[in-house]
Amino acid sequence: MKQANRWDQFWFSTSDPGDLAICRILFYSGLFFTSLIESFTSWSEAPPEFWQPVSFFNLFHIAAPSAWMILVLTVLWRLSLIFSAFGFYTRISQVVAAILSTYLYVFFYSHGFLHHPYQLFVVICLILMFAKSGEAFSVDAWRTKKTSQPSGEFTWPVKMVWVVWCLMFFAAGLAKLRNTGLSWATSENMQDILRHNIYYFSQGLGHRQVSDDWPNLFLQSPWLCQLSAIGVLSVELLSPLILFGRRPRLILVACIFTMQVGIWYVLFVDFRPQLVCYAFFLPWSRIVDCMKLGRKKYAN
Amino acid sequence: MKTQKKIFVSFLIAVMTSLTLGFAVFGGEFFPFSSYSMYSGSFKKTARWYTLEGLVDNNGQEQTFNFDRREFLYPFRPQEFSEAIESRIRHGQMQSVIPGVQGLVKNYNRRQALALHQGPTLHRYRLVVHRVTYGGEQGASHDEQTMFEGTL
Repeated sequence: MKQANRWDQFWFSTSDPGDLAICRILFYSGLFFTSLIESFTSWSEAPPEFWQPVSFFNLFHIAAPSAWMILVLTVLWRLSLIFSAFGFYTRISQVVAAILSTYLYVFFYSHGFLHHPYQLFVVICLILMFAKSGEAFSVDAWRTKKTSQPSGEFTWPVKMVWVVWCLMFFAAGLAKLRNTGLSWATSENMQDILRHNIYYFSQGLGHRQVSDDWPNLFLQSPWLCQLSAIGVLSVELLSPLILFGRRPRLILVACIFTMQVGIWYVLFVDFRPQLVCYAFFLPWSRIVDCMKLGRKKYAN
Repeated sequence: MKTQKKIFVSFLIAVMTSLTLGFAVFGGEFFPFSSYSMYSGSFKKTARWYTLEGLVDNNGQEQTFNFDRREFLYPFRPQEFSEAIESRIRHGQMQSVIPGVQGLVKNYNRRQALALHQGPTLHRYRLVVHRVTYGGEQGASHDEQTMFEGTL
């Protein structure tokens, strides 16, 4: 009984519809702008020999779609993202956005390579597909003139995003232990990774938007490399603690944010598209209250 | 919130968490679920990657031209191209690499004719495999080998 209460308290404690609505606006807007970076239609021009279906494309033997189909689906997808952000026919838009995000990214990754930052987007889309996120700050709410009361309906999607987000980092930490063991953090492994990346990117293989001053600084200080490697592994393995209280959440989310910015500067891995996911960790109703209070004080 | 809805959401939570955690613990990939194993290996070993090079005639002298941008390797970016070649080889589909690369060179020529890029006219092209060993203070030793060469 006590366990059931705890489960209920964690997932279904009441929260303001505005919190989830702001997350919806920021997440779908972010995904829309990210969608502009990649032209899915260009992949229809890839030689057929590179077609290597993954995930459900492989499971159900789905053939490569035609250029026209990809074009139509991309337009529909972007429209669904805009509609979801504005909260216009929110439920339908979110379902379409989730299905098309999965379909288009699986098509994209069926060419023999994989970029990890976009997987989280698709998982979040699949979660929001079942969420009532259009109850506030949406065209739907404005049209129906309905005011929703705080409910558990607006809590579980945010908590679910926390779970998949922290499990992503936990998985990365676990993979390091599985593939290399503790020596990933205790040996000169980090220096080797830095050397590899500086060399690899200098050969024009990756698109780098920052200079190699930072990785060189780390390379010159073995203790800094060692410390950052231990830090990365510890933060990744401890990441599930964000689910156990406000203080660990605050500390770990700040650490993970610092780690991601650090990885971008030192290893050139661009995590910027993922930054929008931090929206799910901010206490929006409190921020809005503070802003209102501030405005009142300013007016007085 | 109704009890029925709570049961449904709890089921959804269980499915999502099990899938995410399952791939985290046991490894593997099934998009969008992943073990996020990037940079998890030891980099002591030799790193390997692939590039496509064109051979260009410059006043009777043959020069190398690197396909180092997406506009030349369209639709691949250099890193994606290297990963795709590696993946083909890992899956034992070496025979599809040569027609695949020929297809990319065809794309290059077609896009050049349409003035979609400013790359030079190629005479020949080759797929090069790079093997780099990182040797501590000594830096990297770089060895490259032509996997195959094609003529236009």
